[in-house]
Amino acid sequence: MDQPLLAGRDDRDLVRMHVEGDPDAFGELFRRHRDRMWAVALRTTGNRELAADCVQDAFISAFRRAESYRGDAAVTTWLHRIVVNACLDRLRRDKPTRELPELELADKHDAHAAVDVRLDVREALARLPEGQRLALVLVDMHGLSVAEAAAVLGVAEGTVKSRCSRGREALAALLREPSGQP
Amino acid sequence: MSTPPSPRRGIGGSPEEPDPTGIRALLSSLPDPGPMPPDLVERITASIAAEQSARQAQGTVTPLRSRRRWGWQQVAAVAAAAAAVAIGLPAVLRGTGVDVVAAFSSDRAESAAGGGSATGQALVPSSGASATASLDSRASAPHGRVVLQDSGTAYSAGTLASQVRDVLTGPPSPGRTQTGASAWPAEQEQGLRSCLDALGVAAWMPVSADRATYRGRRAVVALVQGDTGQSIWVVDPGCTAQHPAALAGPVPLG
Repeated sequence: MDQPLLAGRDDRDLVRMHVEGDPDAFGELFRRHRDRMWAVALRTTGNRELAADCVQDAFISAFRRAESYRGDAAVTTWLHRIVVNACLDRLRRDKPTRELPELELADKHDAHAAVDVRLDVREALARLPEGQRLALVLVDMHGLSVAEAAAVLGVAEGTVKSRCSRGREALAALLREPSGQP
Repeated sequence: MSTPPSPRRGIGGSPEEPDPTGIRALLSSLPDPGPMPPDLVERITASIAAEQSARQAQGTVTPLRSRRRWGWQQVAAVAAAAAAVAIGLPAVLRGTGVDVVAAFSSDRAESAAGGGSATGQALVPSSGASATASLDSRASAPHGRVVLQDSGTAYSAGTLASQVRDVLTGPPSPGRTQTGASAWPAEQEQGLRSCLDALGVAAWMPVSADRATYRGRRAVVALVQGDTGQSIWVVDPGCTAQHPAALAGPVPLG
C-alpha cells in the first residue's frame, strides 16, 4: 500500500494489516514510533549501544509477534512493553543487575529544598532498583500515566505509584549525597 | 520523518500525587535523547525488510493486495484470454499475425543472449502493427517475453515511474543485462512470470524487469505492456504463484 494511504491509518489498523500480510504496514509503525522507543530504550539502559540492540530486538519481536496484540491496550503501550522487556532481557544477559539495597527515605523536612544535583542523574537512576528505575523512566520521563505504565510493566497501578514514590525519594537522596551514596 | 518523542508531562503525576522531592520535575525537564540515529534507523529498516522477505518466502501470509485485487485481476485475465480467443483465433487462421508474434513471443535463447535489445522489442510492438495484429499475437503467443536486467537502481515510491522510464524504456544497456543466477523465484524469468500471473497480469503481456531495490528493500521492478498502455509492478523477490507478494502496483507508466 502506498505511504500516504498508510499514513492515514491508525496504529491498530496498521497492526491488523501487518498481520494480514500487508508488506508496508509495519514499516509505517516503525516510522511512527521509532524515536519514542529509542528514547525509552536509551533511558532504560543508559547505554547507546545496548539501547540500539534492545530497540532492534524489540521491533523484530513486535514484527514476529504482532498476532499476540489483542487490541485491548494502545499499540504504543504494547510497543513500550516489548521495548522494556527487550531492555531487561539484554541488561540481565549482558550485565546482571546488582540491585542496591533499599534506600532510606529522604528527610521530609528537606523535601521542598532544591535538589542539589551532585551526581549525574542518569548515574543515579542506574543505581536505583530496576522496578523503581523503570517506573520513573516511564512515568516521570516519558509522561505515561500510572495506568499505562502498569500495563507496560505488567504490575498493578498501586505498585507503579509505590515504585515511583520510593524511586523519587531514593533518587533525591542519591543526588544530595556528595559521593552519590545515601 | 517520524515524530520526535514528546513526553506527555504531568500525566503520570496528578495533583493528587504531590512530589515533595522535586524529582518528577527534574526528570521531566531532562532533554529528550533526540531522534533515533540514522544508522540505527537504516539497520532496523533492513532487518524488518529481511523479516518481511523471509515471511513472504515462507508463505506464512498472503498479501492483502493480491487478495483484494484478485477479483478484478482474475476478471481482466479471463477477459483478455477470451478476447484473444475470439479475435485472435480467426486472425491466426487467416495467417496475419506472424510478424507481431515475433515481437511478443517468448524466446529464451535470444533473451539470454541479448536481453537489452530484446527489451525494447518486447515492450514496443513493431511499427505498423495494428491493434488487431497485437491481439492476433496473443492467441498464438500464450506467454509474452520476460526480459530481466540488473541495473542496481534504487527505486523509490515518489519517482518510480520516472525511474522505470529511464531504466526500462530507455536505450538498452548491455551492462545491465543480468545473466547471473538467483535463488529468489521472482528474480528468474519463469518465476517472475508465475508471480505476475498470480497478481493478475495476463500471460501474453510482455514484461521487462529489473532486479533492484524499492524503498530500500530488495525487489523486482517489472514493466508490463498491456492493452491500454504500460504499467509497473514491484514485487518481492520471494513472490511466487502460491504466495504473490506485490510491493506496489499496478502503477500506470503514463
